[in-house]
Amino acid sequence: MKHTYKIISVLSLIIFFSSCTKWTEIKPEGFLLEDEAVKSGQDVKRIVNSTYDALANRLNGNAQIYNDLLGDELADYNITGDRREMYTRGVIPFNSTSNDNFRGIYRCVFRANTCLDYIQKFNDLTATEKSTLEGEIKFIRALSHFEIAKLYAHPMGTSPLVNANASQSGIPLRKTVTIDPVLRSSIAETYAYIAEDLISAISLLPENHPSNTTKKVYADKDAAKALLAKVYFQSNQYQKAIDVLNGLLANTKYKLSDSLNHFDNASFSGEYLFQFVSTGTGDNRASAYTGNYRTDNVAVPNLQLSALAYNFMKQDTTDKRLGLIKVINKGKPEEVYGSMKFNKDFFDVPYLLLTDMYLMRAEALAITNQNLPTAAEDLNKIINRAYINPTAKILSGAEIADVIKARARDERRREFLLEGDRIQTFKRIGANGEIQVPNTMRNASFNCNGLIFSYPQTEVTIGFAQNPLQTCN
Amino acid sequence: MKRKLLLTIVSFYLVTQVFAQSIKGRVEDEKKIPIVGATVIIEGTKKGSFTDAQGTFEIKEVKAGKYKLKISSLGSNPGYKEVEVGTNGAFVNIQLKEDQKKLDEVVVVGYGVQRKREITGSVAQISGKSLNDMPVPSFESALQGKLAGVNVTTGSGLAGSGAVVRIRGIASIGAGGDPLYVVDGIPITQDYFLNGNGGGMNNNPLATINPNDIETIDVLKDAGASAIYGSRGANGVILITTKRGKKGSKKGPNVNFSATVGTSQPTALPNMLNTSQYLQLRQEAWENDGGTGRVWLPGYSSAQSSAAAREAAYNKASQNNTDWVKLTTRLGFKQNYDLSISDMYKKISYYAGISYSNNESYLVGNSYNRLSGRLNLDFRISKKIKVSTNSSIAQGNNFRVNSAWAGGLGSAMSTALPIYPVRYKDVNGGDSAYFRGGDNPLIAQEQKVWRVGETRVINNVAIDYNPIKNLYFRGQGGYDYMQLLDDQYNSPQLLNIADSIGGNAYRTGTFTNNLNYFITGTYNYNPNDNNKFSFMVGNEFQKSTASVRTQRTEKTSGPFYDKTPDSLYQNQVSPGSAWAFLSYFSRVNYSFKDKYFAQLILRADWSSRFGENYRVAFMPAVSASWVLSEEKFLRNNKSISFLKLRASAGRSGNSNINGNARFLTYRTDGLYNQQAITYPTQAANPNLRWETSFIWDAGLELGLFNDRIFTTVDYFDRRVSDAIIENLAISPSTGMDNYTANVGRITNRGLEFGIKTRNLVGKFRWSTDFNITKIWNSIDDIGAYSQDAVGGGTNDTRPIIGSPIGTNYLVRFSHIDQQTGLPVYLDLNGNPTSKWDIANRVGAGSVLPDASGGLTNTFSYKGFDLSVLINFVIGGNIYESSAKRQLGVVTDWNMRTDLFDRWQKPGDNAQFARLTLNEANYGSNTVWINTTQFLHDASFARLRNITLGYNLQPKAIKKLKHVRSVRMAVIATNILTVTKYPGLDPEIARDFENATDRNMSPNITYLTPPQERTYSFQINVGF
Repeated sequence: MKHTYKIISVLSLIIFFSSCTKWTEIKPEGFLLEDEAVKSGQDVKRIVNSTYDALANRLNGNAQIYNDLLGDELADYNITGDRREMYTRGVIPFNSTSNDNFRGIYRCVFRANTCLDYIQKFNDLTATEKSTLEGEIKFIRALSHFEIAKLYAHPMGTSPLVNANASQSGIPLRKTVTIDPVLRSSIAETYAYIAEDLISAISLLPENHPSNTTKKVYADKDAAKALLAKVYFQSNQYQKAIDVLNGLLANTKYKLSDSLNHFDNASFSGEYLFQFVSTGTGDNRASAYTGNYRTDNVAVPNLQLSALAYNFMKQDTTDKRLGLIKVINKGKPEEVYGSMKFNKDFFDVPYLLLTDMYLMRAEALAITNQNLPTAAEDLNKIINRAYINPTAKILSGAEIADVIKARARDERRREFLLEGDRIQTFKRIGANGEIQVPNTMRNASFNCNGLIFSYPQTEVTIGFAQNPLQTCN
Repeated sequence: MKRKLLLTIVSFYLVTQVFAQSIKGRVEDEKKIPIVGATVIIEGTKKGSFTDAQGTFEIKEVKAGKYKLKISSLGSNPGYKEVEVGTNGAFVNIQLKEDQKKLDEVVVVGYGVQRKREITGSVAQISGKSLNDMPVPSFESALQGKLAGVNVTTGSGLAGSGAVVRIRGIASIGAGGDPLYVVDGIPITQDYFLNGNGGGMNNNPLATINPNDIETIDVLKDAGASAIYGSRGANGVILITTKRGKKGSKKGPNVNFSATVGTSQPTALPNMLNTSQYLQLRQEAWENDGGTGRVWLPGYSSAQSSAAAREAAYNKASQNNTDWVKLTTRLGFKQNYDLSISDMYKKISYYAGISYSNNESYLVGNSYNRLSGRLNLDFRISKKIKVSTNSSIAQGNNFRVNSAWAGGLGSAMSTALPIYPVRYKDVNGGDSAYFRGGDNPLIAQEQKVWRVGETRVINNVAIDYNPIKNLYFRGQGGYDYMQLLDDQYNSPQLLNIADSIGGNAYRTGTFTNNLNYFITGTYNYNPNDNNKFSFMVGNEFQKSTASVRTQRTEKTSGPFYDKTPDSLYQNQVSPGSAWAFLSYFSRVNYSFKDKYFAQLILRADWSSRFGENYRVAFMPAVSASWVLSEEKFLRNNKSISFLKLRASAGRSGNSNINGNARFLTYRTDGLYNQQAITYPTQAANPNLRWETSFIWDAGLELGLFNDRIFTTVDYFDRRVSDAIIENLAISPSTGMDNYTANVGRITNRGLEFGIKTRNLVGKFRWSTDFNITKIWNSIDDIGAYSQDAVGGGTNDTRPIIGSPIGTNYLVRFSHIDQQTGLPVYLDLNGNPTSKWDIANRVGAGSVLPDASGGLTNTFSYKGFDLSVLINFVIGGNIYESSAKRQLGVVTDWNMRTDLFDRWQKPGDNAQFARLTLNEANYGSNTVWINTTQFLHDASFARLRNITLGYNLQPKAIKKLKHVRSVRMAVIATNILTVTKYPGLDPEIARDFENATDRNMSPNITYLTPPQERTYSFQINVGF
């Protein structure tokens, strides 16, 4: 027996001395760990750069198309699968296209929130750099939450028709990095938080971002102001929008373009307050636009302009923007319409542009019935550019508010054709109590639940209020 | 191992004294087939010999006299023969009977072998020979129906497709549910998702393993057996032992050649509509919806088209009638050749084999070819030291085609409409450019080159050292390298660009290096005849890294393997995986009087996969068995020839989790504004750990009437805690791609029963082998997550508390309203409703069968043998996920002739609803109307395999020079299936997105190609 003990102990010794638990400390393959990835302020800058990258991949036409599928500017042609659910206003919680968009936009929030923890950590960043980075992060976070709110919540407004279930009618606000589920905030809290981020960003961001040379790739003070104005405008907070716009448009360094195509980057760059940048065919951040709307290299575009939208534009043949529409198979039974705005291999996608600022201020002033000459003046800037004979169109400033408002909306519709604007305008003014329920856009009333997407089913944890399904066609 | 040591010792002691006489003889089995490598020993002496390839042996230098020979061979009962040696020596013919008790057969149990008698856990063994009877896409498919508790769902009809193997059910949601595969001591790379899910197929990591190389497969089923693999053993362990050198004949080594040729056809073909049927049904839908004139047609006109335009389109479309199913399928041809040579000498033995196979599936363009070689060597360096090496290399090429949702036959079953032509016609009526107005699977079929080349090298070297009596050491180092090169070339025609521009090519290379070593020491301590102990301790380390590189080039004329690209447009490192395990383990066996046995297993695993708060998993298990038939009161019982009771209890784990899952990870690929980016992909989980299973098992083995009837019954109970929920489970608003956490609890219980009977013995023999396993499975907890948050993917299975894993979560379909012809659903309270609402989903079925098993009958008469395998599944459900589009709202999909039984006028009692183009008529806002209308009973019985063989009789063999044995066989698989399932094939393993999908959604079909039916001819010649 003694012998046995000896043998067993020797055996055990031989076997146990031979290895060490440190061997199991191995790194993941194809990934970096935190201590390798985030070593300096430069790395933090790279993470911030990645938030723009991720947003550019959503707002490359995709998010805009999803908005337009809900509206009335697209023909019912070649709209199948997930997109068809958008078009028929019945996005179910398993729609992988809308769910990818949802996750993709929140990915930017996740990245932004990740940076917040790091900014103060590294001393190779100057105080200015730190505040710029923080401002950019808040700008990105606000922009992301705003895009989600547009698709996943009824707009904020005074109409009682959109204020049912007020406590959870907004979106989940992701303020920090956490894996825990977050319930929806109210729509008021949602817009308040977005505005809060932007107000903070305005104070943090520099007048000119040091990395912006010719293009407005990275957020600066004006970009944050412009976005704040847009957020207030979309949430029916017109006075606040006017206040921001007044600051932005006074002695503005931006200049209206002579071109009519917002995507004509060379001519329009003076108008851009913020843009997503493409650097080549292999880096086309307008790929969903080019892939779906181009009319120059296909017989018919994948997605086509509706006859309704075309007929609307055609009502005024003096509108030079009509020239951006291509009529295919003209006069034949198979006549269809497309846009020529997107006929390039790659281009930058403007997100905030001066035209929008003028149109917003004009409409906001008209809605609040104040300073109508300024409203008319703003509107005339756009009119002058858009019509063959602008003098016949321009406003005198003596019109009543409703006339200016109607004109502002008319110009908005003409300017932003196929840019994802139309449905949001419809929902906004509906929420403002201006549209009564029987009035519809392609048979949908502004408060139809079909005009907001279902949240991805995996978002719906205990207590989370899913958007009810309701089709409206 | 012990047997080999014994052989070594025996050969060593073969005496060298000179005597005049010798004993010669021949050993054969009941079928008169020579037994090769049997040991023949003169009882009471150390004299002996082995039989050669002809089954003959010679024991030289024997004095005249009477002797008793003991003949033993694996798989047979030892035989005894009295022999009298005269001055001329002696010649004896010995027939060994097929092993009945098999108690002394050795079973591989992980880090060693045990005699069957000693086994205290639940272990099943199958010989490699019985795997080779049947042509299968991959060896694991051949396990189907043969072992109790081992459920195999054969993969689809795609060449090289993998099966889903489940040992005693499934008890994981998000961690891989596959057993651990160990080849000659190396836990091999077995990740089904290394190459994602491209073209409707997952890469099968087992496809490169040559079934002809396999000697035995042992399956460890309960904790008493699998706990030795600790945190990786809970799903069961499949131990594969490859062939080693066996003693050849005087004329030379054993040489075996086999050739199999055969055909492949689908077990069923989809019944899609032709043009006139399609147009008729579509027109009817249009008119039902109030449309006038001709219906609009996808690819030709739209709902907004004018009546004239629709009419013109209709007339144009009706000129085509393309049978896409026919164009995407064919009769496939299969061939397999295998040559092996082996021999055993005093110091060295070897086994060398080379194999080539080329298996075409019935899908046009799809085939898998494999060239493999193996060399296994044993060097008996001294009495105390033996060195063994195993080397194998295989090159598999899978010529892929799009399938299922990705195209090919899947398109033919969905969006490739009969009204679409393959090509436009030119003015003379000849073929012109490809039709591109709608889905045309022929473009990719003809214009895409897709090859997944897999190079697999599995090597190991082992040293056995026996320094003193009863003390054994084994050290083994293994290396398993797997290289996958997924090459795709899209020609200009496919891309629809000018030929002069050139096509584009992609290559995704996955390079997996898997290294392990283990050292074990075993000491057998036998203080007296009654008490025997065996102590084993061991240490193992394994490390695996898989790196991925993605490359893309444009303006090229062929795939990367044909044409080295001039420049790369993309060349980047993509996420791979890396993991390591360090383990210490021990096994103590005790036996008392060779009838009471007990075993204790302890194992501790450290793993890189475990979060920092849980670095080590500790897995103990105890088991015991009692051979009652050795007791006095049963020893002479005439009916009961063998009776053994077993019981085991212990912990075992499942660590099939992504090695990256516990880390906060970053990536740096890509640029924005031509500036570098760095981004986080997921949050860290320091609490990530193995799933813990507490498993107990009670078993009974009973042999009756001299083991003419032998039965095994086991009851098992597995409780899983810390069950993993993986990928996509957390709120998408976290913005993270993945998060994996331990949140669930699962119960999996079952009863397995196996019986082998030898119904007829004698000249005409008939034996029956039957097994059945019944499983009860339920999810007990999924933490704070909702069913949908945990997911189940696109297959509409969800984890429902109290229901089995893989519960079909669907809106209930009630009936078709006879007046309106519209579908009626049930709401949550069971009240009829015309509205399809996902809020009304309930757990309506389960993809897990209630029971499954197999029945094999083997008949033999003279040289003929016939084996018939039927496998069956009882209960469970199939969800035919694509049927909602083929038999639902009329869309851009083709439909099936099943729709002839549809509602057309009030009063019709029809199976399918009134046709419509508008989903709103079916109360839905989507055409993806998942309901129980397409949930079917999954029960089936299938004539899986019939093999009729003939072994050339010894007389005939003698006439053939150099030939030792000849066997010819005709083999047919999947000949007949009895099922109520109205779809294609009731046995479904579709393509999966991830482990959760693989666990929860077998038996969901989504345009999945049915299995193949094969007819083959096989010839085996032994030299």
